[in-house]
Amino acid sequence: MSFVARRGNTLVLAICVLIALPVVTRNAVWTDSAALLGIYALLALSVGLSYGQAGILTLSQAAFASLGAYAAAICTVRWGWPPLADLPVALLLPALIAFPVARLVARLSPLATALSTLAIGSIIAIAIRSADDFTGGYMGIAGVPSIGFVKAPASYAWLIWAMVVIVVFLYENLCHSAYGRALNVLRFDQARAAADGVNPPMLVSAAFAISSSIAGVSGWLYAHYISFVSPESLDAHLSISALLMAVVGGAEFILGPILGTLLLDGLTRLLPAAELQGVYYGIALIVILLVARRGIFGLIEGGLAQVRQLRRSRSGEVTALEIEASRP
Amino acid sequence: MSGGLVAKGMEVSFGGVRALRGVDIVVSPGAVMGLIGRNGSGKSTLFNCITGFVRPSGGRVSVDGKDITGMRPHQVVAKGVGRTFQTPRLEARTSVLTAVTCGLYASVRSSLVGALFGSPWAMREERLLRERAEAEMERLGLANLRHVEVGKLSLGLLRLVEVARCLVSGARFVMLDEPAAGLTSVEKDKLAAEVRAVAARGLGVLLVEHNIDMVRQLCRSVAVLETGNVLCQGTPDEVLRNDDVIRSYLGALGDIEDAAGGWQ
Amino acid sequence: MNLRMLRALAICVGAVAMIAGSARAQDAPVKIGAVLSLSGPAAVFGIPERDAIQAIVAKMSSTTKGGRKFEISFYDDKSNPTEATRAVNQAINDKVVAIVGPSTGSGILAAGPIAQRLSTPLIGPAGTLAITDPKNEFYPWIFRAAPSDASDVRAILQDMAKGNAKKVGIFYQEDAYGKTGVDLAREVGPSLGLNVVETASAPYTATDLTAQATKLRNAGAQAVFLQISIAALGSSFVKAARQVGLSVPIYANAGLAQRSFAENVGNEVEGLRIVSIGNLPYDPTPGEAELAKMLEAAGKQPQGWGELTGSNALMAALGAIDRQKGKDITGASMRETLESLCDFDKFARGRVCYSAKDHDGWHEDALVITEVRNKQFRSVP
Ligand SMILES: Nc1ncnc2c1ncn2[C@@H]1O[C@H](COP(=O)(O)OP(=O)(O)OP(=O)(O)O)[C@@H](O)[C@H]1O
Ligand SMILES: [Mg+2]
Repeated sequence: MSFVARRGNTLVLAICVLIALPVVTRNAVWTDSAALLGIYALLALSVGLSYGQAGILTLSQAAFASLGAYAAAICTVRWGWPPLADLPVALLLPALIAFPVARLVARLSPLATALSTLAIGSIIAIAIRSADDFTGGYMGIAGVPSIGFVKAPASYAWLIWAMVVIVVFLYENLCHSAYGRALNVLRFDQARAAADGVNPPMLVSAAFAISSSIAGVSGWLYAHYISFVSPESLDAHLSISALLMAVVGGAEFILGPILGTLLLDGLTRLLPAAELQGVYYGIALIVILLVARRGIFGLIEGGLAQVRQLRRSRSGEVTALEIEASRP
Repeated sequence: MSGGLVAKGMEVSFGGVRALRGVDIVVSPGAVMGLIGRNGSGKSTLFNCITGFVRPSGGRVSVDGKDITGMRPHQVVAKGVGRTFQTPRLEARTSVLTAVTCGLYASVRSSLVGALFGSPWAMREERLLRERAEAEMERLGLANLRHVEVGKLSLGLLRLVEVARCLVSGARFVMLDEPAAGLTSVEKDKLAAEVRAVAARGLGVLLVEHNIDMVRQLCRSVAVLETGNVLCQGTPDEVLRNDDVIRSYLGALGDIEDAAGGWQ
Repeated sequence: MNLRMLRALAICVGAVAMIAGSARAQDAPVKIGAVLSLSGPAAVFGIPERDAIQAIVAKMSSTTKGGRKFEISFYDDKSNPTEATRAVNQAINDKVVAIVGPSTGSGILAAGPIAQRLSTPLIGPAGTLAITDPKNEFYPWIFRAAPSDASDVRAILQDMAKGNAKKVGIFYQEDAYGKTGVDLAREVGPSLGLNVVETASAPYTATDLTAQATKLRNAGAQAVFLQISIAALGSSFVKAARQVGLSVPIYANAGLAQRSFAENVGNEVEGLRIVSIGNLPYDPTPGEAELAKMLEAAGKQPQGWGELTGSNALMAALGAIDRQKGKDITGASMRETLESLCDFDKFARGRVCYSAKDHDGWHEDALVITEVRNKQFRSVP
């Protein structure tokens, strides 16, 4: 019972996916959008873990995703590995880079750390472009095979969203563990966390590494779904988009980044397509962030908390203030 | 002599200010050591340099004979030394239960990967952590505040939450920085009872407190700090009769708390 | 008796329905999608492509020469391969039978598998070699609407070989376009007696290129080849070259054949030779002049070859439609027709024939060597 209650986000997401995907996959364009949005949602989730939990404002997630994507492309196209054999590489490679980098920079100020992630993102992008023989340089790699049994776009949409649900499940496990609580403390007060016995740079780096692995998976899915990767596929713009998606939805809430992904993508599609779209988009973003500082989920949570308090005071349940007042 | 938490010749300076000038203190297992002194005398600084938050410029700290000087805070915790902060450091939106459970971090055995995958072993440990936290809250009279957000508590109760968070950690030595300030007398009694119980279990307690009654009730031995030096040390009654102490500390105490009248 | 009458009636009704149906199919406009880079870095070419297509459609009143109604809808690939796949998906969902675009090579490579899966050919106005690589699984579904980068490089190096230069220095921009140019020049050069002795590169945003120019000068380059599509990079390099005393003839690939380059540079680029796909703005052939007139009628000024490649792709699609007079047109039938399409109506120069073996169609005869004179590209006879 408490297990289910503490996996509320996973449950809600799984139900939403089970209801929405059968409808969505009836239309080819929606199916394609669902698949891509799932990939972006994973990227945004990786930002949620990194920024919302570990407090690292990351601008390198698309670079980690491209590591995952290139790992898939190189393993299958260049080396002829069967798809799926490349998944561990796509998971581990980003983490192996993210962890030591975070160990180095986690002690810096938040701004310096953010800039370091930006730098590591561009270093990865440059490395990919320069390693011609390996990565196809600027041209990229075409013809990445499908993942075995998964061929049709609808199957990809299912696979990708199943992956999103799995990641949310793991993420929720983490949040309800001692490590998740420690991250929460650490984000507000490193000294307090240290007094609990937390090694702040270590835990932050581990979380960042996990987040980069999530990004790696999203890249892995991208490569197999689109079948083509180039330096432009998962570029720095996408890192920024992913950050915006997470922040708009509510980076510290588990499902916030997913909501943000759907919202921002919807926004670009609803706004009149034109040279001015960027301007509208920017204005909409500013408005959202002004109204909801902690993202849409923050807004919802604030509302719920008010309702709950109202109900409590009506039902005569003791409130904190009453407890204080009745202290012996 | 090597048993217990031993700090010898601790020296700390902040720029020009010499906050500690060679302080010796020993906390023995099963005993409550009091630490008193006027504001700014260096009590919190002593806490900070023992627990690795401030790097001492001189002196050595050891736990049961093992040197822990210069270790980082989490390493000190791993050696079994816990502490509270004088100003509670808590994130307003966490619940009391969660805040106390955070104190158990050092005793967690399941790995990050185990936690991530929700392994049965990690889940069982998680349940155990919660039970331990609840038990500690029960003892300190915090049980009915379980789901209250810490941001809604008064400073006094916040300090009590801090104490619970420290005591629950399983540390063998706990250092409490003014835990009783702002508590009602019933709450103080509960706290005192818990501190005594903790010491009876064999933990060493270092207690900074302005409440003389409480110090007298709990402490077998008391040290008085004065501008970074140990002014004197002894049983509470000895110390509180010392002229220097009366002049330097208890004279100033009237401003801090009206407890001064209670001791003579 | 009754049965026979019923059957006759059924046949009559069926026949009428079929005629009506096919008549309706004939009446309904054939849908073509245009997936172009309307925003992002490739919009420099995507916008002229769109302008040309719009001007032609307006002029033809949405009816092919053969009298078939058609309808064209535009989609933005945002110069990004992922967006290109989304746009192609959307277009095919909107029931187009062929797609003009995507504008960029990477967009075409990303969208290729979708074109194959949903049986809708892409007619891509891009020079990127890889898009018509027979090794691609989706090869049957991609047709090129412009000479490939290989043709461009061969054409300009042939012109260079006519001079006395033996040692060539290359300056290129740091992207796929730049990199391919270098590789091709190294490959083609030796057969023309040209040796690449040094290369230098810069990112899009570089402004001071003296270091690069010096590098090429020190290597003793007797001619310089520019593989650039960013006009500002081109003018910066030429200025830097004159400053450091690198006074050798400079040749540029088609990327620089843009009005904005010719008009915004000073005297130092006089004599610079650039290969171009046609010469729409300055020395048009009669066909090109016709397109230029349409553009002007639509209120647009011809910019370079973007309009021509855009028109190439559209005209190939319209040509394929007209070859299927009276038939139902599908993506598959379009592909099949395109694969044998030869000598269709178009505005650009050169003879174009697609075949199962040649999805490039366009070759060196679509190109022209121009020289910058008086802030204009003048065709070299
Ligand atoms: N981080 C710091 N930087 C500079 N000076 C400091 C710092 N921390 C403490 N001090 C100084 O060191 C001296 C000792 O301070 P400390 O906080 O240890 O006193 P305290 O005995 O805990 O006082 P209180 O009873 O008010 O808590 C004071 O003079 C204080 O101003
Ligand atoms: Mg203090």
